[in-house]
Amino acid sequence: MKGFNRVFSLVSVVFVLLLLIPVVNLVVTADPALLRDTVTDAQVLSSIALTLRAALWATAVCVVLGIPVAYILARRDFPGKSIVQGIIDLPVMIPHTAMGIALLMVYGRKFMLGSFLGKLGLFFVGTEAGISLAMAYVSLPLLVNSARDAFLAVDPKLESVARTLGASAWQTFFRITLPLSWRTILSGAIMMWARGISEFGAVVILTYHPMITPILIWDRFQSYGLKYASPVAVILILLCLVIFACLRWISGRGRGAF
Amino acid sequence: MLRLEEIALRLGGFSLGPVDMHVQRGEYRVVLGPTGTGKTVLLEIVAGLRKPGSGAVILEGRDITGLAPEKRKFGIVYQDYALFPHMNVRDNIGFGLRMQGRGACEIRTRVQEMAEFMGLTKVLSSTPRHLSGGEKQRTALARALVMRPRMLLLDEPLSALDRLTREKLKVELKRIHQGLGLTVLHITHDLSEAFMLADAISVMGNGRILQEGSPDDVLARPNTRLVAELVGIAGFIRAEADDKGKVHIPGMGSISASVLGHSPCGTYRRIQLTVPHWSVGLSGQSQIPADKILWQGHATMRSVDATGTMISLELVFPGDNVIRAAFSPREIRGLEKIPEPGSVLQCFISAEGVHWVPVE
Repeated sequence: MKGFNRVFSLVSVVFVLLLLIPVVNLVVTADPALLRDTVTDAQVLSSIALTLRAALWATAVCVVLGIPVAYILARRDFPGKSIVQGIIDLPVMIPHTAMGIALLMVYGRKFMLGSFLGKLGLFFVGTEAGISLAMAYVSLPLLVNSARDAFLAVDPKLESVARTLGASAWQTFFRITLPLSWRTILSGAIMMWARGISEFGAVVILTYHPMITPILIWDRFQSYGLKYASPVAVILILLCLVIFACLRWISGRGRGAF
Repeated sequence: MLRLEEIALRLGGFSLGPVDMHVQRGEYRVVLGPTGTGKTVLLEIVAGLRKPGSGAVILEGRDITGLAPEKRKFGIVYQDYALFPHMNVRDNIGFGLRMQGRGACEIRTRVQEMAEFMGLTKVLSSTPRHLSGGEKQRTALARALVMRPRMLLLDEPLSALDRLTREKLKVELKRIHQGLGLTVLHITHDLSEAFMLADAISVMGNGRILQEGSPDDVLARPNTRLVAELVGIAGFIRAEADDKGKVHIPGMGSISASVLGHSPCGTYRRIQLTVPHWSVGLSGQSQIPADKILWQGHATMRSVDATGTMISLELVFPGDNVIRAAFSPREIRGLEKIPEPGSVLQCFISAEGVHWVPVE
């Protein structure tokens, strides 16, 4: 047992170090003067704000639309269920640039849905809505799968008892199911937001301008080189680290109380 | 009060019903059957948690088959309690009252009264994970009872408890039923639970109701071998009934059909006598009058099981009829020595308790 624990602990340490080295290296090798300039660079700040905001919108919309889907997948059996599950998982499997092209061919101004929505004043190419749309498509499996697992972990008998005690289906969902599953759903939402922030492939096809931070980093790397791209990456990484540490702490608080 | 009319449902390879049942107001009805026979599905259909494929659930003359569970006013208690883990005992008990929109004062009073009735006042602020098995079950009962349900539905409510707590809660269920005059539909696979609590028993097997009646009737006159087995009878003897009022038992002679209650003669030819373990006795210790003795002679003991409170002997009677009989340690001590497998014992079978079922 001792040998087993040592081997597994050693592998774990090496694994975490492998993950950490590139990030730490990026932070410690950044030019402090450039880093200072980048922190006050209006283009960088507005790009980061745009990235966080677009990913947040994508997550918020998917929470509203994804939770019912996740609940149905967890609670109901129906013909074609595994196909529906496969469709939801599709973005995990296909290259995100391919997803970007697929989205462009539906939501582009010359294409079916894009043309119709354009008449309603809703454009997805070169707009913040387009960024959110691309982020949502590629990251929604993280949220839906987490929510489905969260609902599966709630004993259906609790819902049955609540119904016999006079709770409607809605009351049962909001009083029993959601309070017992929100932590895992929040965890999925955090993962979805994080994945949205880091998205490049699908967004770059649909919306190069306005630039989200991953595209800005790519743009500066192409135009000015590594020296000017890395401070932007460092700022995004540090900011995300703080935000996600806080969110993880909030979602983990009180876990195990029941 | 509650009538089930030809309730049927197919679930994958399992088929429930058609089931017909009539539960009287104030009755304690136990549905007895082995695991996987569709008892829980039937209970969930009554509660409105499942829709039957066909048939109707009639409550006080009104068809409630399509009525939502929250509108039926039935309380349900599951084997694993299904307490809301994110609420304390007080909020668990008060949940239904809150859903009904009752005032805070009324909720407080009724929860307190129910907690006192169920002996839960000391644990009202505890969450379910801090409760013992018995407290959890009492909380689940209190949560259902505080709603003053039209009917209490119990799904194997005592199965997850230790023996001592189970015995206590059986008494408590009896007290609740009698004290509140409740109509109860209780499903279980446990014989002692069924026979102690039930006013009427429905024996269920293979998705159907096989027999209904009072516990004494079902025990004394099971109508099929499966029912006899489900009510705990483990002894069966092959026999043939003739048209002259006699029942012939291969290797054991003939008996008058009149000692079996209603006679199979003229209706069935091939039958099996059902012999409960308490109908078999050791000769020399019997207080039973001779005319009540169905058969007496020698039986060979095949095995002994002395792990329970009773000593169980597997006896081979003439004609290779094998019957498991149970004796108290006092009865066994009355023998010259403790019998070993292979011993030949002088036994008798009392007519009392022996019935017959047709060979299917």
